[in-house]
Amino acid sequence: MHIDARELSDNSLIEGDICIIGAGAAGIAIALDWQQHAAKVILLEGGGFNLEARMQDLYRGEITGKPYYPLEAARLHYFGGTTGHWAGFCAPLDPLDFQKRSWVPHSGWPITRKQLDPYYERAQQLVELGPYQYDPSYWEQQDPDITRLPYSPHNVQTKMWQFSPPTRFGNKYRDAIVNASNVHLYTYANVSEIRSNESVNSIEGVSFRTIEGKQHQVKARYYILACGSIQNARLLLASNKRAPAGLGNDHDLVGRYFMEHVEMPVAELVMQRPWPLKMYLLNYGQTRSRGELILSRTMQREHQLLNGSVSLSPGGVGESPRGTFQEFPAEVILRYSDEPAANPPLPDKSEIKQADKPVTTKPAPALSTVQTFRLSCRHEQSPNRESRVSLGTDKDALGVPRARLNWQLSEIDKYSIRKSCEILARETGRSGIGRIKLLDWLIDTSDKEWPEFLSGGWHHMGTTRMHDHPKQGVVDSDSKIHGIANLFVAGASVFTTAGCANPTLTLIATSLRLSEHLKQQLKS
Amino acid sequence: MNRRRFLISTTGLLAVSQPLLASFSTTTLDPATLAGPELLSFLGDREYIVALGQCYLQQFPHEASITTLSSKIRQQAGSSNTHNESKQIARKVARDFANDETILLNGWMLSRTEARQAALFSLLHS
Ligand SMILES: Cc1cc2nc3c(=O)[nH]c(=O)nc-3n(C[C@H](O)[C@H](O)[C@H](O)COP(=O)(O)OP(=O)(O)OC[C@H]3O[C@@H](n4cnc5c(N)ncnc54)[C@H](O)[C@@H]3O)c2cc1C
Repeated sequence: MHIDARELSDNSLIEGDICIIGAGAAGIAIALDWQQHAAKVILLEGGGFNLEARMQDLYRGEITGKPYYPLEAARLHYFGGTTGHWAGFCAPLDPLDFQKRSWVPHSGWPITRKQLDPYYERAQQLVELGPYQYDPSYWEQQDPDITRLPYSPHNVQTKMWQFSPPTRFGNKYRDAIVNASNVHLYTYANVSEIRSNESVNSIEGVSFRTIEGKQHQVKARYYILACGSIQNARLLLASNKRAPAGLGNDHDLVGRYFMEHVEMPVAELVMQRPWPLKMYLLNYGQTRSRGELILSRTMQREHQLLNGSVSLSPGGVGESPRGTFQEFPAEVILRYSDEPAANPPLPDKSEIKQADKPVTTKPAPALSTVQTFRLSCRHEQSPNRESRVSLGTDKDALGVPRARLNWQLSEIDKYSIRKSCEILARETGRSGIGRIKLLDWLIDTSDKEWPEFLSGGWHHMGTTRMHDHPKQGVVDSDSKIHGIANLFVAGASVFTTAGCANPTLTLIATSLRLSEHLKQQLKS
Repeated sequence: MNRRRFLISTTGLLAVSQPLLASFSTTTLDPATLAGPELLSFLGDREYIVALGQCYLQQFPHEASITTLSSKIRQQAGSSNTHNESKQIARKVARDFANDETILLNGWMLSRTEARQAALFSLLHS
């Protein structure tokens, strides 16, 4: 069922069992899981069904730390959320990512990869991937042209990714949500406050507003915050009437440990002779799976490194290396944030790439004829308390303080990228594949600075991190906010560490796990 | 230094590397042969290899003589004729990588033997 919140009479009260705030990948995945359930699910979405400049403007924010992408272009504020832009790269986190690693401060999830596996398998279907198979040998069996480069697996391994079409949740699941009789979707329903009881151990309701000035209330048994990592933190911090530091923030953790994947060119590879590279090259829109190079667990342990992968694409880096943020400038994306009537369909990454870099869309030959490759990393950053989302002084059109992002990195982040590339370079020579040249920004070991093309992957993670102890995490292993009986968080904000896999598959898996937990709660 | 000029593009690769390789294989067992790095010719043109070699010599100035470098490259590589010698050197390069005898030169991760070949090349050509 769909209701346009602008058409409700002012001060309406809506009641239900579960209230999901935000209809992006996480919120929609959960709502779909409750279809045909007896419970009444209220799904509040701040935007409409299309991209609108005034909605995007609610996402504008301040950047104070490392240079970052404009916040109003780094996520989307309408039904389907940021899946309207995402590129569909999917992989599960590695088992090691969940473990406590002595060399990675604040590492260690309270859940294991094994516990998430069944949910990953279901998440695969929601983003229209193939089988839940990430073992390279599975893909080698599917196609004789797909073979791994001859690295010693003790040192360098191939981590597989699968590619979603990419599923645009807004288009794909709109009908299912609108037609689900127990799911009540409200569009233009921007939550401005989550209200707790006096002792701040339970949520009494949420207030949502329309840009036109109406305000309404929702009362439910359980509340799930699913607005994306920056917005989840912002809403908790802004809900400060009874808890002056914000909800769930007794230990000053909400908004902290913001993480990104560092995505930048790191090196060039010259191959000694042609190798079959079908496993590693990407034809955007066609490739179902591809491998990236990662260091083995043993190597990561031995050298005390963060997890990171390196992808190959034909051609060199050129005179001025560019990270993802420079490759897809905000202007290109913002061009599409006009009023809906004037909106051409959003470009997906492949279209931008086509205009920008035709070389990556050419079919990849089974045997590489190109001998020079650009190597780009997707690297985990270590959880850093100083890297945070807080509230700015400026307010949006609904009176909610805007987000302020202070993205920070640590020494181990650059060290890990450099060392990993160095090891990969040595292993590339050792295995007779070719030679690697590290880019200038990685050569000087004493240089702790980041180059101006520092980039992330628009992967916002970690602002309500998961930990068993309230002093170390905002949510517990069920994604429930410590100390508050009925408030849960869905999305990558619950990630304790980031791994090197793009976050959406994992955030859907953790959301489905939370959904299952709530079903059990409702039963009991 | 303009790296783009030196990095060989796919199309430019053969054009640049053929004359370079040809100049390496004219004599037998002489320094010019030893300075004929099999793979270095894929990395860049003459000027680029010279620069790589100079970078090595800055780090190891005590090796900055044709005799020293020739003998270090030959050590354990064995030598009989040009053909065998290049095979022996290739084996030595592989051994270097296996034994972590590697060096980062201007960002390139090279075997110590390759780096010395570049250094010898630079002494012979600059
Ligand atoms: C250019 C780009 C490329 C990407 N590529 C990849 C990729 O290849 N692989 C990958 O894994 N990830 C990728 N991502 C990241 C991916 O899009 C996100 O991880 C994912 O969409 C996050 O899902 P979410 O549901 O947590 O948040 P979102 O998808 O952002 O959804 C949040 C929803 O909450 C709504 N909302 C916000 N505030 C309120 C409020 N106050 N009240 C009510 N509703 C509200 C929003 O309108 C939105 O619908 C990419 C992102 C970008 C920008």
